[in-house]
Amino acid sequence: MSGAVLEAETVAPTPPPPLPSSAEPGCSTGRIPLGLGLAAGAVAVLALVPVAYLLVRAGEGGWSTAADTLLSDRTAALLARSLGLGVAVTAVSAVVGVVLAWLTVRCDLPGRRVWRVVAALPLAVPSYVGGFAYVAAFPHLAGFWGAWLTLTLLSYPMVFLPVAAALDRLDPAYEEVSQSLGHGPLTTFLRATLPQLRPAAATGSLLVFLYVLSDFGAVSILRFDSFTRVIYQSYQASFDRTPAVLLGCLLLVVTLGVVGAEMASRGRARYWSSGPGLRRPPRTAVLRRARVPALLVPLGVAVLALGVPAVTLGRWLVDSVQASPDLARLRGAMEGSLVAAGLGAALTVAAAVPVALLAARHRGRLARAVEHSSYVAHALPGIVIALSLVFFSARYLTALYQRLPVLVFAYVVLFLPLAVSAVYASAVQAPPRLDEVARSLGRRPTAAFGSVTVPLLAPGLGAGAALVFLTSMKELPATLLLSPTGYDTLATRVWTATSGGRFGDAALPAALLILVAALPTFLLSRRLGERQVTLEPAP
Amino acid sequence: MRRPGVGRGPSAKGGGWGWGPSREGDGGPRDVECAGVSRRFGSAVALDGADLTVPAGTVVAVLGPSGCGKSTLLRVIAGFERPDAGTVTVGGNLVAGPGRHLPPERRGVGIVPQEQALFPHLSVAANVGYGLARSRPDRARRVDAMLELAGLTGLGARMPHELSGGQQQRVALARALAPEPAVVLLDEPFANLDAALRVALRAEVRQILRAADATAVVVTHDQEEALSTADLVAVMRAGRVVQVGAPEIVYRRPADTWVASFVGEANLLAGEALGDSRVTCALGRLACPDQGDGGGSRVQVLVRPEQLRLHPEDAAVEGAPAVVASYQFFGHDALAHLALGDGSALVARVTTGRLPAPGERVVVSSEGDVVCFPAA
Repeated sequence: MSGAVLEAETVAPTPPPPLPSSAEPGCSTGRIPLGLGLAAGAVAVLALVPVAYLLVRAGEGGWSTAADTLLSDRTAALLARSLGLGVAVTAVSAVVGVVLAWLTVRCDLPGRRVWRVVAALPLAVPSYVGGFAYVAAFPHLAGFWGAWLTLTLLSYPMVFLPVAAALDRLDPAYEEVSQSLGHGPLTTFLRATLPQLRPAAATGSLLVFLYVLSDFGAVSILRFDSFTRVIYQSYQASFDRTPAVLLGCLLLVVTLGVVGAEMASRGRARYWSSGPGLRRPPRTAVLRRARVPALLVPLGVAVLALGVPAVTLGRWLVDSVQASPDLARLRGAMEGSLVAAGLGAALTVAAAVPVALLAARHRGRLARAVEHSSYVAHALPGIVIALSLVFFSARYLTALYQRLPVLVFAYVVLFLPLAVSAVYASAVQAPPRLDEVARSLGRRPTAAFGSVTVPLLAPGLGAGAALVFLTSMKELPATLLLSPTGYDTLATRVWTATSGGRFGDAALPAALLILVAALPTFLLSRRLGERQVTLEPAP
Repeated sequence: MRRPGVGRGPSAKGGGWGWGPSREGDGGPRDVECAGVSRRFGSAVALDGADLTVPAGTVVAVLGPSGCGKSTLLRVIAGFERPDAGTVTVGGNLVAGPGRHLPPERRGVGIVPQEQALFPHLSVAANVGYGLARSRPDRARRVDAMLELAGLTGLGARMPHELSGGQQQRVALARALAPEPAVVLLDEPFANLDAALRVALRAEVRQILRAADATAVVVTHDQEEALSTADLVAVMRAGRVVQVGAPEIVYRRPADTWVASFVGEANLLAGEALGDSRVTCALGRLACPDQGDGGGSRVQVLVRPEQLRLHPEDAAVEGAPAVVASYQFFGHDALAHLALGDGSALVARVTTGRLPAPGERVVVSSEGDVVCFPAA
């Protein structure tokens, strides 16, 4: 991968780097290794293809059409609705995610390892299955509050997982310093711990917000007219696809604003601890009498996020099994899902490595641009990426039109940010200084990369692959539009059955989807829990 | 002399690492030569034509205030920075210069970073063995020998975070020395340690470097560390090496007043050369062997605190009357801050006898030769 040419012997001249302070000379050597820069640049360009083509396609409609569509009251109301939902879901998800992470990682909560796994499980529930389950359980639940509840319960793990990982790796020295400076546990948490969780919480929250803006399944089933639902309706309603493309462009502008704001808020601070070898296991807070009330938090979240869908789904499952389902077709759909999602996960994580390394180690303008350009693609609804790729492949890649590679490429474009943020969290813990030491000990750049950086990146690579795999399995709109003719996946099976009102037919693939997707989630959470044990010092 | 079992074993070959032809065959430490090395970062100049010669088998301390470019010089030698101008040779081979940049892994230059940078995912033994080819038959023995040399016997299976700060430092050093580098570079190796540990570890590190018969460059801003650890001290200022010499020479015969003040405590007094290897100043006539025959020129006279003697007010000695302003007591000695009649301040080290009380009137005299610099 990128390591093959890390710091090649001939490096192109780059703009002069800032003078490293004497305290940390060369912590971020300004020179970007040629291979790393090229690899990350290539990833960014590929990730931007659908966006660029979307703009080209929108331009073909003409300016007056664009103005008529975009400057209407309906569009303004649509914008307000979508953003309102995004803010409401993100705010609550961030709080739930951070609180759950703190309770399960840093408190003596009874059975905290179990809770840690359980808290991550809603990731395995596709939004359309979740929305469907809530509608069925509470028939009057629809519109904004329905979408808010569903999306919050399904997306808070995106904050929970990175924050829990960050808490695991937190150097307790900062908290001890804070306490020694006279701050109690609460102030210490707010002023010493929380700011260090900021990078993890911020990337997680950004992902939640972008997820809400691009979600298609839940809002469609809960009949909340956000961007994606309106775009899909307008795409299906007429042969003129221009309004759909224009609304997709508007969403892009919104996303750029969000990403830009995140970029501006990210400080100049670096987050790798100065001595990675010095890391001690984090301390555990003693809850005492607060243990039982604290237990209600993960329990309540689990009942709402997992219990309700499980009960509803279970009821249909019983119905459908009694009606003798088509098992051969189900197996085909299962294989289709596994192949597409597996390829997507492998390629996406590979693409994320150069981007994450560049962003973590070289905080130049180029590095930031690379990191953030890949976020942009994620905020585009899958339906718009799919539209763009349908048009693009029909026009320029006829050999691949309606073939699997286009679908896998859509997954890479859509879920690159998930992988980047996961790998980035590990990359900031693998300081370039370690690579330098390895090279001074005689390892070539590739060998140094393989024996030092890769093992340190491994948790991030694993987490990233699991996240992308899960999300690809659940992905609906792009899969719907891009899967080859006759290529079934579990997601398309659920959708077809649900939209046809055959809830019983949807139950079995939906349950399978959850089971398959829950396995990587379970392993991921368990591994995160185990690492704590192995880190405890020998007696 | 090299200890048995610590010396150069069979050369690393194949497996993707190893230091190339220049590293094979006969072992032993190499010399390092930096000539006219410059490096700027944007508009800031980190190195401005720095020259440094490190003879084979010696420990050279690069001493300077923070921001003087000493860490950048280290990174240039290691190969992590490319100089804008100048050359670096290791063992006579050009490793950096116009049109040439040997990558770090082929230089045979070991480093011990300030924060040690132990690989957190590897055990102590794996850290130490990291630079040794897996195909090396004596690899395990070599790791054991290095652990023993560093006083870490029995700790090979530990993980880095299970060690104390001093132990981590020694692992980092053992790791750097294991592949028998031509030179090992230590960047502020004791900066993160407490004072007592620092003194002990300083001696240990010196002993380990000796036993391994290594050429070493130690970067530090602590003059005591430099003077006590090194065979040679190179003083850096604003990107240049301003003086290189044995610790004693740098201390007793500094190149200029800046070096005099940076390395140790210095009293600088205005004076005049008398032309007969003597100078005159507020303390009277003092022997100054450097000062030739040319009399009459204005000079600055360097008198170290330990050269000053305090006498009772009525003693019949050649000296200057002074008032004790304050003193700092260190146990083995004390520093007395004195005010002369003309208002100038002196610092005197008092090692024996009664400590003068603040406010007491004394006569201060100088003993031994002094050094003079042309007056600015």
